[in-house]
Amino acid sequence: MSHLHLPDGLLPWQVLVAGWALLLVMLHIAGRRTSGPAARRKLPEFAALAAAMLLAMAVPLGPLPIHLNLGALAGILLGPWFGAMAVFTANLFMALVGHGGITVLGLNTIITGSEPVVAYWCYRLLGTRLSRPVAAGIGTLTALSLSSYAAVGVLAAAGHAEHWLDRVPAQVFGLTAPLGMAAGALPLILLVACVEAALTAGLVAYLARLRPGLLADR
Amino acid sequence: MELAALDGLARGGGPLHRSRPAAKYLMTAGFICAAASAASPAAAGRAAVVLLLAAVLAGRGVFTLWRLALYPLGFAAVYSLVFAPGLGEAALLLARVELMVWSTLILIATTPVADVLGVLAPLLPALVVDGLYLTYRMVFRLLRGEEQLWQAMRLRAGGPSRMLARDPEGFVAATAVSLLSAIEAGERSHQALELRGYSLGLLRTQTAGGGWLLPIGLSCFPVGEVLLRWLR
Repeated sequence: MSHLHLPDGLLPWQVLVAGWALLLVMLHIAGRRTSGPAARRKLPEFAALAAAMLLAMAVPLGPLPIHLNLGALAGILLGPWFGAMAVFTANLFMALVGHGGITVLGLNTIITGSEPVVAYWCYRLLGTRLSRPVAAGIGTLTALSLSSYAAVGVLAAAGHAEHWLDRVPAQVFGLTAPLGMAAGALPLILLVACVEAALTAGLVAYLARLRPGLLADR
Repeated sequence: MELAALDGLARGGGPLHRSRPAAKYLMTAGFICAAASAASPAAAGRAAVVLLLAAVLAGRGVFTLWRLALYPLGFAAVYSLVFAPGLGEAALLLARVELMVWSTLILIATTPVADVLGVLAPLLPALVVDGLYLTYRMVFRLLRGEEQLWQAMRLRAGGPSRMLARDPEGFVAATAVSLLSAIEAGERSHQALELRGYSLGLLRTQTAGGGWLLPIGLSCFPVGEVLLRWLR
């Protein structure tokens, strides 16, 4: 959902360079955290989830430029670091086939990569009190909402808010630029986040029955 | 995404296919740089002419590339209409998007995926590179598994698959089963690789050969124009 799909040349180069720098740091840390034979055994799971993300991202939901991500599911199944790497993998392939800019790859991965991290920790924290599917659903909803607002925040911070404000009813709400953008995008973000949260909860319930060892908290 | 079609194109024998993958990366970077900094329709047009030449040199499959390049247009149109202050700027933005998409498509349509990922191997953690390679294979496995599963469900249910798609539980179960079977198939492949002594670095062996001249020469024109603009 929060996948920016921005073309190259829209955002200022400082923002793009910062995105790439953060991505390189993230990949370096993720590479160190996922070394060793135990981590290597997760490679098939990692690849299957990255492939599932790639397929989910390639299918728009109707005429709207939005789609499912499955990043939160990757976090719940693989853990935060593997999940973030799966997001990078899916984003890189998408960028190579022209879906989302190459220069925005860093920013896209940082924003979308926050989904597995947030979803994993929500799932871990809530999983002790609630059932696994419910914890997964709430984790997904939280992660998608946060990452979508992060994407909107990046656009607002990049100085495009004034054009947006001419077109969405932000003035009606009487809010400042970033808040106005966030308010305008709210219904769409919530709609897609709810669909993906329900799907993730269902998948977690199913996988917990069939192969509970796949879940990251096991 | 038509990955299979791109795979087929990448196995062609055009002049760009025979060039060195690293040189094609540099060419793509040059094209993207030119596309991103095209500040006028004339600059975008000049970059388009060079890209068209590269597309022709990519050999057969220009029409497949054309079709694929249209895919992100819907997404880009929304952003263009929202962010560009006028229609002229929106059109220029869309032209930039298309130029950028053509740049990456020419790379992926003239270079096998193993070579595309092989260039990245020294730059990324080995686990990520192997993950990229396995992910690519897994996409096809997932697609095939999903197709077979839906066919089986349709045959057993005796109705069209659309009816099953309307059933959320059935949809979740089908997705979970496809995912699980892909994971299990991947685990079996991984075990087989480990028995043969695999310990990360599937793509450590780089493909060699191919020339530098054509890709670098092609990217010289748009990159040179960008540099001249900066110097002025």
